[in-house]
Amino acid sequence: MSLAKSVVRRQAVKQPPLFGWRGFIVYTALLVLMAVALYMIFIYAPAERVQGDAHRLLYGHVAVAWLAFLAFGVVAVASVMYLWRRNPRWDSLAVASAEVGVLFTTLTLISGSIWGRHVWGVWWTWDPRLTTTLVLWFIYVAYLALRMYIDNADTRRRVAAIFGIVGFVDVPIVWYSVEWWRSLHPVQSVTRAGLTSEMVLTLVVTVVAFTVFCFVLIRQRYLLERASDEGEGLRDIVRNRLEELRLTGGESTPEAGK
Amino acid sequence: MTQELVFLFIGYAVIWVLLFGYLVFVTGRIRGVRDAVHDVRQELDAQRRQASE
Repeated sequence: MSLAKSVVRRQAVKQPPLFGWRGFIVYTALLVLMAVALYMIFIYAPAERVQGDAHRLLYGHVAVAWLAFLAFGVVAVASVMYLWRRNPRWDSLAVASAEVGVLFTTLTLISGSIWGRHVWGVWWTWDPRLTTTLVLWFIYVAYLALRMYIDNADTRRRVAAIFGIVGFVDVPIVWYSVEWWRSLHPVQSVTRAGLTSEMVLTLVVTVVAFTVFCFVLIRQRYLLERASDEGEGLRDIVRNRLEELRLTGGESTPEAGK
Repeated sequence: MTQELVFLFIGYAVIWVLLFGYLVFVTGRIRGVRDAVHDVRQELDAQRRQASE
């Protein structure tokens, strides 16, 4: 069987629907969860003693920060699986998670900056937690940029997988930065942060709602990556076909068309 | 509106706009890429049929 024929046959697998009945259930659950989370953030949770209503921003901030870590964890696991199995689907999952992780890290930095402007009086300070988070953002932006500059698919996937595993080293550094160095940033422990039970419940619901959103985003980005891979495969077929036509002087052969 | 609430509103507005904007952007791109792949596949199938006849 020719390479072109095998690629066409492999790609003839039906694409998952963008919005089937399962999608309807997931999107409905997402909207309900988000509505409940918003209600709890703005109405149910009490205002904090010192920070007042500005404290409510931290529910969203903590949720997106946690999901950035989770997304980069998925990148690391998918990268290990790719190096082990050499299945491009793992690479697609890694790049999808990396992009969503960068988005969530961006949101973490922006929401933290807005909160910091109100509570600390500055938009940015070179605090260990903030600095290590910015480094994390740069690492995964570099991961995405690196992928754009390697044309060969196998090399790109292999190099990106190694980068994705090594880059994850910064995640525990970000997490423990408030304990290892003197930091202005609040500690990550719920009990040590002095939250009431209503605050903890609001935080849990917000994290669950954003987690569903995160998985929806990763899935959509994964589908885009698979579609792009399929397009890349077809581009190779067309390129080979054009090369065959050039060699045969424009005479079409039955074998070339397969 | 107090300054606290302005910060709160801006913070959540940025989060929602970026998240939903990204979702809409990615979903639109999937449709675009799938349509393009579908067109190329049909063209290749037509060529294959033509070549085998």
